[in-house]
Parts: sequence; structure tokens; C-alpha cells
Amino acid sequence: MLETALAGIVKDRFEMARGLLEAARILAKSKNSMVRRSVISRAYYGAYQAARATIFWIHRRDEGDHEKLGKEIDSLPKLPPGSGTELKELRTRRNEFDYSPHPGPNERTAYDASTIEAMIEESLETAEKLVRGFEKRLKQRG
Amino acid sequence: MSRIIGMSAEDVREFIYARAAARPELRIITVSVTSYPGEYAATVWLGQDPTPDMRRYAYELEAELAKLGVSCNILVKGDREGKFGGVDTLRTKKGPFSYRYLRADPAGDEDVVYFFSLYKGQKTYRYRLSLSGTLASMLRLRNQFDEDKILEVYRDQIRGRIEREGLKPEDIQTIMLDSRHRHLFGLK
Repeated sequence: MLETALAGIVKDRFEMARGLLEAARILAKSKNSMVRRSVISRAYYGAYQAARATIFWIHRRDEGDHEKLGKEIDSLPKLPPGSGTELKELRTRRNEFDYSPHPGPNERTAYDASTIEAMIEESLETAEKLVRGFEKRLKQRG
Repeated sequence: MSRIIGMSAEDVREFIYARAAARPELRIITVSVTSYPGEYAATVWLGQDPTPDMRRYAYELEAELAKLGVSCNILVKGDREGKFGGVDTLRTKKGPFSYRYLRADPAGDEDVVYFFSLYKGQKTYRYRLSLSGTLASMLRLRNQFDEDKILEVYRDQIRGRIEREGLKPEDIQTIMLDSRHRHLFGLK
């Protein structure tokens, strides 16, 4: 019974993750460049929810702290190496794009338009790859 | 966890820089720290491709800062990951190079520090350029401080260095312009 309840929580989080990625794909098709920027936020949160569900299922405890989640993911065996670092990178990018009208690698340098577009596309691909990796990992629990 | 009161972004940057600089295997270009609500985000930029161990080192730094009550998401990245500046082309007598640049934080007497990564095929050539504090002050005092002009001079310096001395892919080439170079900015 406990197992069923846990599985339900994990299923719900993955459903949320997939919904967030779908939102990201819809935003990516927008002609408005400012709307397209929001792809990164949806992509990050999609990957975050799937990562959180994975940790919950494997360790049987919830880890919602954004800062700790990357490290927890990198410490899990049987995941593609660097998955936690990729999650952290998405998080950093999400902050850059959500807080600044001129996002850049630091406060003194801004990305150019073509780099921004490339980063939007790359972020969605990374989030999709991470979620697929987490789904695969859940099937090989242990 | 919330940010510690009294530890500014600059304090965090200095903390990370000091720790990372103590590791000789890291070729640090610069450390950037950005402040967000409730946390900091930092990137340690390296003039090399980071190994998995180097990337994991970020977790050690995060843990050290967490003990001080500072929430900071840290990434270790190489300049070939290419997410700074825009891509442009520098034409030289040795052929064209594509390049990106990053405005870096100054150290010591440096001012207006830029880090350039030039790419040709699989090779990367790295240059760190700055003005001395004196030259930067002279430009500001005489209303000649124009960042676009400074970038133009920096690009000319790199071009000159490549054409005179050739290419050294393994090193970070450092060029600091001082008051002897004031003529480059139209000062007598």
C-alpha cells in the first residue's frame, strides 16, 4: 500500500514534468522572442520535477531544494554522467533569463540574439534528455 | 537557506576565486557571481575543458559556502562551451579567427578586463587584456573612456600579437596596456 502511494507521488511529478516540457515546446514556437525566452524556465522546472521524483523514488525521501538536487542526482548510479551538473546549468540559465532583460554569462556581458536562440533550443533539448534519463533510471531502481 | 547578511557578491567571488586559485590544475579565466533573490549564482570560467572532477569541485565549494550560510549555485565551465559574448571574426595576416569575449573582473591594478577566446578548427587561443589603473584613470579624466574604442584597441593588440609572435595554444596570453600606450586612445 505504501509502495502504491509512493508510486502515485512519483507518477504525479513525472506527469507535471511532461506537462512543463510540453509548455516549453509550445512557447518555443512563438514568434515573440521574449515569449520564447520562457522556454528555459519551463524546461528547467520540467527537469527539476522529474529529478525530484527520481530522488524520491530511489531514496524514499523528498528533496525539493534546488541547490541540493543537482548534487543528489550526480551521486545516483546508473544515470548518464553529469546529469546533475546539466540540471544546475539549466537552473543558472533560468535565473539569467528570468531576472535580466539582457541575460549574459555575467553582469558585464550580454549574450547576442543568435546565442540566445541557440540557448533556448539547447535548454529544451537538455531538459528532454534529462527527463528521458530519469524515466529510464526509475525502471532500473536500485 | 538564505543569503548571509554581510557577504556581498564580491565577497563570494573573492572566496571562490581564492579557493579555486589554490588548485594548480585549474586555469582560471575569471569568476563571475550574480546576485538573485535569496541566492547567488557563480561560474568559474576556465581556459581549458573541465574534467568531471573539476565540475564536481563546484559541489565542494557550494558546501563550504553553505556552512557560512550562503546559498550559491556554482558551475565550472570551459571557454569552449562558448556561451559568452557573441561570435565574431578577427581577420589577421595568419587568417581569420572566430572569437568570443567576456568582460572579466579585475585583479590587482587591472581595469577594463576582457578575456578573448579565439577559435580556429579544434584549437583555442586565449588572451586576457586590461588597462592599468593609471591609464584607465587618464581616459576617464579626459573623457576619452569609450568601451567600444577600448575593445577595438584590444582586438588590434591581439591581431598584432598573433602577427608578430605567432600562436601559442596552450597559454593564456596576458596584455596590459599602461600609460605608455595612451596614444592608442588618442591621448598625448
